[in-house]
Amino acid sequence: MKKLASLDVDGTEEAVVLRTKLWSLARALLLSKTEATRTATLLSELSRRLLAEEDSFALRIDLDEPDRRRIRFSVKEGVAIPESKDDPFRRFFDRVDIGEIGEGCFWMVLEKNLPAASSGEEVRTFDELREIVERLSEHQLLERVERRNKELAKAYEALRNSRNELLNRAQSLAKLGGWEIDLDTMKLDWTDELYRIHELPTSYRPTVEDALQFYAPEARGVVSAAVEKGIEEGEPWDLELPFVTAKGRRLWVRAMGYPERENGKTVRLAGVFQDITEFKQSQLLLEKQFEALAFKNRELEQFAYVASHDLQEPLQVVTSYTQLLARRYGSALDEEGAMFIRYANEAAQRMKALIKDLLDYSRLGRKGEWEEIPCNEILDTVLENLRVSIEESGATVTRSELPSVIGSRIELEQLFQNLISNAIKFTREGQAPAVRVEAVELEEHWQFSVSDNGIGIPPDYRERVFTIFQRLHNKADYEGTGIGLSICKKVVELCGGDIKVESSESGGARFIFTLSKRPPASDLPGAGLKTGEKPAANVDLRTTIASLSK
Amino acid sequence: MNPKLNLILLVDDDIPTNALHKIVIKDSGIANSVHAENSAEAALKYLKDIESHPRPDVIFLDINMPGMNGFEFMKAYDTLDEKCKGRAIIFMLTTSLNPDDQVRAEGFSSVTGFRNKPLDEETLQEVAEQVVAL
Repeated sequence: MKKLASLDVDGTEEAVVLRTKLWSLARALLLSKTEATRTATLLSELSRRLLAEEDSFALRIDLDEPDRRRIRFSVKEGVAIPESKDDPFRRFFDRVDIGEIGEGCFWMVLEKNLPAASSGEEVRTFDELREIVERLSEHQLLERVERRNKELAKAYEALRNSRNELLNRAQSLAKLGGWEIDLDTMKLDWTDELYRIHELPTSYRPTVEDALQFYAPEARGVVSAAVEKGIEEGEPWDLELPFVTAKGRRLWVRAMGYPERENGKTVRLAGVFQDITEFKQSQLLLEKQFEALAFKNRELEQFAYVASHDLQEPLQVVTSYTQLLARRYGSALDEEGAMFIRYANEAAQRMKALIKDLLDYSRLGRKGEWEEIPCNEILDTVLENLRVSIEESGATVTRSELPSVIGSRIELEQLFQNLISNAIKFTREGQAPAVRVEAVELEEHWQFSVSDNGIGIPPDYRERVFTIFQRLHNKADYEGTGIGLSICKKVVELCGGDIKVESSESGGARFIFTLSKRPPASDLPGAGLKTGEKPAANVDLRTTIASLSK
Repeated sequence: MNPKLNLILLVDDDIPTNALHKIVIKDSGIANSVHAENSAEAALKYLKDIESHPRPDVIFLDINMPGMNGFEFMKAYDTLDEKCKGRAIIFMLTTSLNPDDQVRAEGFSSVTGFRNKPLDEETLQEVAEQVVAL
C-alpha cells in the first residue's frame, strides 16, 4: 500500500471539505456516483462522530499501487465507538477493522475494493489523485459552499415572491387586507390590498391617526373606542362600518382587530380589513325587501280582517231589514215581490258566508300553538263533526294507519274536514260515498291521500279549484262558497307541504297532500333571517384569514 | 217606440242576477225578449240548437262563473259554426273592472265591450244604440 494523503480534519467546515474531497477522489478511482456518495457520506459520518469527542483527527488514505484494486482509510486513534457487525460501514466497506488502544481509544481501518478500469475510462496518475485530495484548498471549497448557499437563497426568495404574489392576488380578489400596529413604536403596516381599498399609492406611509380618518365621521367614535378597549383589555373587535376612500368613494368595510398581549399588556394590534360594500348593499337591499314584504303581508292580513269585519255590519242591517220587510209586508206583496225579498235575503246570507270564510282564511297561520298531533285523533274529531252528513248520505270512511304530524290542531282539522266533506258532498246520484284516507312515509314528508268515488274533477280545473272563491259547480247544484280547498292549500303550505288532485280509481277525486316532518317556523319568505344576522358565507372569514397569514 | 233588438241572451250562474237583469231589460223596452242561462256550458248548448231557438242580437256574459268561465266560453264560442253565432254582439259583465280581465278580453275579437254588473236602464239604452249603429 502506498500512502496517498494524510488529512488533518478539525471542525465542521473541514468535515464539509473532507466530504467533497473524498467524493471527487472516489469518482477519480472509478467508483460509481452512488458508491462515491456512500464513501463520502460514511466517512463524514465517521468524522462527525470523532469530532464530537475530540477537536481533530487524522485520516490517512492508502492505495495499492500500481494495481489500484483497493483503497484504505485509516484513523490511527480516536474515541470512536466500536460498530456492531451489521452497521452501514460493514455493509459498504470490504474490510472494517477496529482495535482498542486502551481507555476507550480505538484505531480503525476501512478498505473498499475498486473496480478495474474498462477501456475508454480515464485512469488518473497517482499524482493527479493526490492533487484531488490536496489541491482544493479550504478557501476554494468555502467559496463553493457559499455559492451554493446563494443559489439556495435565490431560489427561496423566488419561492417566497411567488407565494406573496399568490397571497396578494387572493387578498385582492377577496378585497381583504391585513394591518399591524406595533404599540411601542406606533408603526402601522399595511398589506397591498389595504392601499387598494384606501385608494392610496403604496408609497403612502400611513399613521394610526391617518388611518382613523378614513372611516366615515359617524363611525370614527366606534373604531377608536374599539381600539382603545383592545389596547386596554385585550378584547378583539369585529365591526361593519361606513368608510370613505382617499378619492372620496363611500364603502362599507369590515374591520377586525386582534390585540396581542404579553405579560398582561397589549403589545401589538393586528387585524383584517375587508371591503364588503357589495355584500353590504345586497344585504341591505334584502333587509329592505324583507321588511317591505313583511309589511305588505301584515297590511294584507289587516286588510282582509278589517274588511270582513266592517263588511259584516252593513250586511247585518240589510239582512235585518229584508227580514222585517218580509214579516211586516209579506202578505201585501205579490209572488214577484216575495221573490225579490227572497233573492235579496239569500244574497245577503251568501255574502255573510263569504265574509266568514274570508275571515277564517286570513286568520290561518296566526293562531294556535304548534304541537305534535296524531292524525288518527284529528280524523276521529272530523268524523264526529260530520256525523250528520255521513249518516244522511250513507257514506263509509276508511283509513290506513295515520302518523302524528306537527301543526296547529284547528288547522289540521279544517284540512281533513274540508277534504272529507267535499268527498261526501260531490257524489254521483244514487251512489253512497266511499272515502278512503291513507298515509305513506316519504323521506322528509308524510304523504296523505283522500280518495272518493264521487263526480271527480275534470283535468282542466284541477289547479283552479285551490284558488279562493273559485267554484266548479253552480250554487244551485252544490252549495258552498269556494273557500274549502283554498284553506286546505294554505294549511298544507304552512306545514311545508303541497297539495294536488288527481283522478281516483273509481273516477272520483283523489286529493294528495304532503306535510313536512319538520315544518317551517314561519310562512314568510326569508323569515329566518333577522336583521343584522350575517349569512353563513361570511362566517368562515376568520379561518380564511388565519390560513392566509400562515 | 219599437224595440231595437229582438233577443238578448244572459249568461250568468247567479239566478237572482239573471232575474234582475230580465226585469231591467223588460222595463227598458230595448228588446222583444230575454233568455237566461245559468252556466256557460248551457249557453253553448242553447246556441248550438239552431232549430229550436232564434239567434240572440246581444249576449251579456258573466266572467266569473263556476266551471267554465267567461273567457273559456269565448274560446269555445270562437270555434262555433257561423250559423250558430248569428249576428250576436257580446258584452262581458263583471262587478269590478279588473284591468287584467280587460287585457284578456282584448284577445277575443268577438267581444265588443265590458259593462258593469248589475245592468241598469242607462247602460242598456247606450248598448242598444251602439248595437244599432254597428
